[in-house]
Amino acid sequence: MSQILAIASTTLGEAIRRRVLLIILMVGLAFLIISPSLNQLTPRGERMVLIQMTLGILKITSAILAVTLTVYLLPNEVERRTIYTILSKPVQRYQFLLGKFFGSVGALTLMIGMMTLVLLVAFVIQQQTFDMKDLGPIIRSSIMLVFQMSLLAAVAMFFSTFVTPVVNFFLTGLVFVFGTLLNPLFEALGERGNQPAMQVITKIAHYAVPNFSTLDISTNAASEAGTRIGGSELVYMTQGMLYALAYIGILLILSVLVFDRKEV
Amino acid sequence: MAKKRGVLIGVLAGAFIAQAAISQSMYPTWKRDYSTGNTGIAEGLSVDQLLASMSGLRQMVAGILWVQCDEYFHNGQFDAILPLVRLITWLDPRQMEVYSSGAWHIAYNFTDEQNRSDRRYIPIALRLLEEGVVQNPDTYRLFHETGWIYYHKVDDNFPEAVRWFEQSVQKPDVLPALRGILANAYLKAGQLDKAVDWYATLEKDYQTRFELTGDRSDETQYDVMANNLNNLLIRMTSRGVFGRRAGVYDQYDYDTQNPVDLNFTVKIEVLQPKVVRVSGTWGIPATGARIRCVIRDKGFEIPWEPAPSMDFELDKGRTYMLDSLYTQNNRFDRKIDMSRNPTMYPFKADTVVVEFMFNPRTAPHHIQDKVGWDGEGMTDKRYYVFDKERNHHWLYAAFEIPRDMILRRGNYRLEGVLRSEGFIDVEVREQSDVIERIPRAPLRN
Repeated sequence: MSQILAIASTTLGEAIRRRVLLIILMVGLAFLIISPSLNQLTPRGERMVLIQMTLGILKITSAILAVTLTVYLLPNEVERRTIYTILSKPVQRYQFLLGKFFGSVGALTLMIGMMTLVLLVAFVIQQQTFDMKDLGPIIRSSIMLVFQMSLLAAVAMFFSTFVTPVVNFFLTGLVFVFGTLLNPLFEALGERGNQPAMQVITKIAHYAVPNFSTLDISTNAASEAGTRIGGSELVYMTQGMLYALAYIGILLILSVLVFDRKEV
Repeated sequence: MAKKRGVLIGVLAGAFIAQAAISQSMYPTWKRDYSTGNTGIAEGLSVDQLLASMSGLRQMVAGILWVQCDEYFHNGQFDAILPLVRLITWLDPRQMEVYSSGAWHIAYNFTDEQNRSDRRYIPIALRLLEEGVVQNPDTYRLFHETGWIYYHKVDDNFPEAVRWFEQSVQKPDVLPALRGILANAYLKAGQLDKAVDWYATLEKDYQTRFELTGDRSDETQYDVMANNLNNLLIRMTSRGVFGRRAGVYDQYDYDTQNPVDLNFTVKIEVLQPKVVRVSGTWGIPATGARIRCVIRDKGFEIPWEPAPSMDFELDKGRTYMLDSLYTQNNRFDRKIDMSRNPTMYPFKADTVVVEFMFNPRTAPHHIQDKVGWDGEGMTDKRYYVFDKERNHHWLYAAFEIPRDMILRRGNYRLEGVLRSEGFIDVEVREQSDVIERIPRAPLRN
């Protein structure tokens, strides 16, 4: 365990020092700070537009960070040959891999946390409110975003055990887009579709592919409906976290199995 | 090592089953609370719009488009707003603000030079709200907005307004102050007893609220409801509603007895092409009552119901003008200029119908004191209509005029005038109008 933690903390430190990630983070933060000015243009529905815009920026920035952070984790170690130094020590391959993953998730959580804080400050200043009824949906959406992006990082980590970073970037992006469309597609084709073959395919995909749409609760954060379902949302969030943890577990086990047999 | 791999594969299988089970259990909640909604509405979307509407960033795109909408609104580019409203509601069907503002814009803001709104858009506004209700069935907002369009803008289908307001007040999040309008809708729909019951319900509710919270606004609302209920009961008494039910209506003096003869007459004069002056007389001297005037193509009536499809492209070949004629001292006189808005008033049909209607249920209280809620205190030898099934009396006069007359061409080049039976031209009074009293029924000894 100590080996995993040591590798994780090193990975976290490296991530914070990486300029590319910092630039992405800064761009995201800049957009979050600018976005309240859009409200000058909307006398009706200011709250709605503010939340929609900021959560959208948060989501895009987080997804880019998650992928950029993870796709290079293993290849960089191999390319710089630092992996040999690490694995020559009493460190198992799975410990190395888990350490890397937890380090990147830690960095991701930190960055999402920072952006959420900026978002909340912007919201409080703009809306002149500190009511948890308004802030709650934003905080809950951000918490679920951490799990959503951790799952995305796990996907990237799995692919990084056997493909190059560039291919990994596109593969992970593809899985993210598909996983984001899963529930709507299942709803449209799996439930109501009139082609049996399509129904079977979407049903299989629905339960086999990482389902990012299930973890996205920002849909209602900006709407009046969002404040209504707040109570039952906690149960849904708990289920979502369990789902994300289960799927992250699957991807990490697969990564370990592949990485164990990989020649480095 | 092989054993370790076997364990991992076992855990893998277990985790896979677990995630599938959790995903399955979450799906119904997702569908109820987070789904983009009825994809049937998405028919006609291009592939990129469909993908955008399903993707995780649809709210953000919707927000950007909403900002764009506002810009168009302030620039007066009203037509450009409609497709954007359509797109935003596809992208983010949970945004009630877009549905309510969009429907308001469609129903109210397309106006002619004299600020008459284009009624041809009302079915489209109702359709948009209907979609919003389907997407947001658990909150009062769009039920109320739909009821309001029927109540205020349609102003001719109050049972439907009642139906929507009744659903609105059932929602747990309804704003307390908005519930009172249901009683008004009951009154305009002729459902007096339901109005009494509803005022009584609200009165009791506000009393309970005040006792629980001590909030002065609840106390004020309680007073308002109590006052409304008292007024309603007094009116029902003075207008003979209870007397009629008790079978003693003829034994007492009620204002609604000896129905006032409206003796409605009208002159329709086309001053210039598409400029019509309607003037006439009727038996209501008091200020406040309005006569609804419709000028439309023969055979074209607007069904006050949601449009079958969400198509912003109107049939621009049809004409439908609706105006309310202000009356005072037994007269009305209004110049209706439709010449500056050819897209609203194309007048392509061979025959044009000019209609006049007075519905006593929408009249102000002081008029209703004489004519009654159901019009039992009025009559007209030419244009009186009585719907026995609904116990509803009203005034309805319709005149057909040829298209050449409204365009002042052909035989009507020199003059285009139609006088109803009994119409007598009178000199316009020079002195200021004096508000006259409605003649009362003679007192019995």
